[in-house]
Amino acid sequence: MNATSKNSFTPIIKLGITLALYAVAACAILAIVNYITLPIITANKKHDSDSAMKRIFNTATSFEEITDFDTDNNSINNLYLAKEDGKTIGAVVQVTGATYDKARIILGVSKDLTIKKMEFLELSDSPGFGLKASDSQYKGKNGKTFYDQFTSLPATSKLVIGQDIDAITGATITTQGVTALVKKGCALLTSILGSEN
Amino acid sequence: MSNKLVIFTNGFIKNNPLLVLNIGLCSALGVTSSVFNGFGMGFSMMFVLLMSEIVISLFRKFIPSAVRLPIFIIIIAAFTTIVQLLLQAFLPSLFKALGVFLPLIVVNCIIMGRVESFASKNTVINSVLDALGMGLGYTIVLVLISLIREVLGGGTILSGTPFCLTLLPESYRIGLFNSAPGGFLVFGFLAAVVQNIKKEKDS
Repeated sequence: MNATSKNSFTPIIKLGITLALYAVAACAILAIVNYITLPIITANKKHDSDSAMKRIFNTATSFEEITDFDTDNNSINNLYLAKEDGKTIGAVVQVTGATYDKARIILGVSKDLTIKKMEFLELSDSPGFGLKASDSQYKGKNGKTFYDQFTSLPATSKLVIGQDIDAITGATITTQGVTALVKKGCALLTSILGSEN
Repeated sequence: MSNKLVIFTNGFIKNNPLLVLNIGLCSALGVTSSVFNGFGMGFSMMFVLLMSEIVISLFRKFIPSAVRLPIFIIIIAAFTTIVQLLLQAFLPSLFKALGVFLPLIVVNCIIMGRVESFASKNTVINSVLDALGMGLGYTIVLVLISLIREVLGGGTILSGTPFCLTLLPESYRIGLFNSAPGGFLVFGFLAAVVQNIKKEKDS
């Protein structure tokens, strides 16, 4: 019997098993916490986007969901027509994508193809830099918050940074990323509203 | 001074994690551009530090030395994620306010440092005191640094809260303090002050 090799293996196996046990225990607890919190978090997110939708189109009496469109790899979702007394007054959609880290925005375009409003649902960029984009206390050169700059611009606008949109100092990538998300949402909403006659 | 009080006050000046032990500096320089951020990071980190020290102190006899670091990381990362999920579900407004700081806590060297050098070798009660002392020492320094950086660099105080006040007009603000070099300068100055206090105490 080869006693030496058996002795050099056993401690390593014991250590490996101990480590594995801790990992399994941690994962099990995480799975339980996730299981408990996931429905609540999903409900919170839905509540946030529903209230954002109602803020953007505050005169709307109902929202009709549209599911038949190109979700671009699931980065565009929750497309709704805003209706006031049965007549379409605009459309709203959520766009998710890369900024410096990433962002999820909700964008509303009116029937006359101008941007109604844009709001951030999630933004995980750096505080003090890219995060200023969603900060209601940050006012750019034109006295508006970053996200309010988009209001009333035509939905077909090229949204040129430096011309139509003021960039945030020290947060160029965030500015470009968010503007790209708005453009993407506008492109979809313009085509939806255009065919909604 | 009783032993318990020594442990608790250890993290304030004598072994302040940032200014004396010089650990956890990345977060200290990265999030101190405003006082609100400083508070937020300080308290979130203190909470994770507290929970990690408690758990590791509880299990200290069952953690083999050879694999202790991976086990510490597993526990700290698991706690950070649990805190994130719980906040996101039950206190969403606080979760949004803390934002990116929560995941950053995992890489905070102070937690790893204290768990390795203290919690793994001491009782649960002493570990609680150590965690609270270190956490408070960390938070106080963070708030001090952000106070200087926010007022001189941003001209505001408590920006990010409804109590934001603008103290300096734009032309009097010193932009240097908003960026990393400015943060280093403030940090170095505070470290020098603490070294001076310690020297006078020892003499």
